[in-house]
Amino acid sequence: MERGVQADLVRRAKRGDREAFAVLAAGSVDRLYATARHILRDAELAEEATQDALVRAWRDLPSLRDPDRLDAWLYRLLVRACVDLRRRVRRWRTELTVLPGEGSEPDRTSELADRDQIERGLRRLSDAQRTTLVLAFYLGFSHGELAEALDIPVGTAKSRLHYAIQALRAAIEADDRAPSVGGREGRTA
Amino acid sequence: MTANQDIERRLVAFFETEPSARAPGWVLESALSTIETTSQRRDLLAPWRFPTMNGLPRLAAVTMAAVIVGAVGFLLATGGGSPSPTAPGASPTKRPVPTPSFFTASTFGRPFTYVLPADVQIDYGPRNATSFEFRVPDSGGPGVSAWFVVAQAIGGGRENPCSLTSTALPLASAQAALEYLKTVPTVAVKSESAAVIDGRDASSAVLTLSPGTVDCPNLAFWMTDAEGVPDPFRDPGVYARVALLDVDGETIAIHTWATSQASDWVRWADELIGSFHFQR
Repeated sequence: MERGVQADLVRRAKRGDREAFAVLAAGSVDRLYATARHILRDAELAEEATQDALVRAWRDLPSLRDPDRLDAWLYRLLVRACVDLRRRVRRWRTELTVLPGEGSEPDRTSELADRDQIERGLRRLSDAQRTTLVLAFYLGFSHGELAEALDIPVGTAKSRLHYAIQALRAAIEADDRAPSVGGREGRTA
Repeated sequence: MTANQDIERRLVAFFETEPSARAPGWVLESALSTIETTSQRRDLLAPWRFPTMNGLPRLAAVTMAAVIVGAVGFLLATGGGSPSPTAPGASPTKRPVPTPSFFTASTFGRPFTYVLPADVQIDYGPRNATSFEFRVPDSGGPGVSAWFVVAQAIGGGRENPCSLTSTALPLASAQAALEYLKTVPTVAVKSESAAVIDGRDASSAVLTLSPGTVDCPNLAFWMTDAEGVPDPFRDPGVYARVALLDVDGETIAIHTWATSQASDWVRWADELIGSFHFQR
């Protein structure tokens, strides 16, 4: 959506124009949902978080000072919605991952294996760590945008990103050291 | 390339190659339907900002405001100005009389109308064919909802209510559903009473849920439960009440939950539930 058009829609929506808000929401909903799925690793929870974020956006839109900052502001609301949802549910679904058994290694390319490893590593992180990585590497947020979305100082955003990368690296290394015989791994946090 | 840079490169590749997920259509529809009944918060800070003023103009504005405030204060203190025909504090303008607004839970399999209580702000959780959730934002602290009313089409019980994969246990009526609840481990049924909702006989009871155990980690007593009752809802002190009624051959459970102090919520929840009218 062209920037000027979006800013105009934001101004109208801030004045209570629901149709203008519907256009903005339709333009953002897929991206918000995909981000929530990356953060929560759960389609149903992501649906709920996306709904929540959009309703909060409507409710709090008058407090948005700069219409050009709509996207960063929406992601901040989405992150809050994800945190609240987790707090409400306050548990991870137990996830069973069947490790490949000896002789049953599927014929997968190294690229696929790499994806699996990143996927498992991300699942081992805390919500806060995973959120930081999703915002930085999925949405491509700068340190400033990251700070804005997480509602923290820029310095804190930098260090949080650094530690999240370290944590992912450690999780992947731990995965490398895991026995390659069959077994089940479950986790509840 | 350092180890961290390698991880960053792999992460970028991971997200780039992941198939993009599109939100199901009902997510947007549901959100837009919710904002139809949600008012915007007023931006109280706006009048106090000086976005374009600086230096002398700002000083002049502040000085002018101070002079006006001082003058009004002086007039009030000395009894100056026109005599007021009304008592102190009385407002000459008419207060708007709140009128109840009827809303329709159209996404629910058994659509019903309801009236939102005037004294509490209510928004919505998931709303679909088997569940329609009302909740009070910030009732558990900033950003946290702790008070809920959930209407649920139960679809029967579960042979094993501790397992989400358990087979269905048919329940013929609201009363059968209440009797079934008494057999569920980690649930105690107390304070049973008769109620009337939408002119229909209903059975109401207070539930005490126990925290998850090794034998019963997931508590999902109704067949339409997509997930177990979350542990915070099974903590001691949580208020849980269920009202069960039959609507044209289908048993509907109306759960009232409060994970924090609930005295006001029960009153408002009763007002909300009392307004339910199932469409025929």
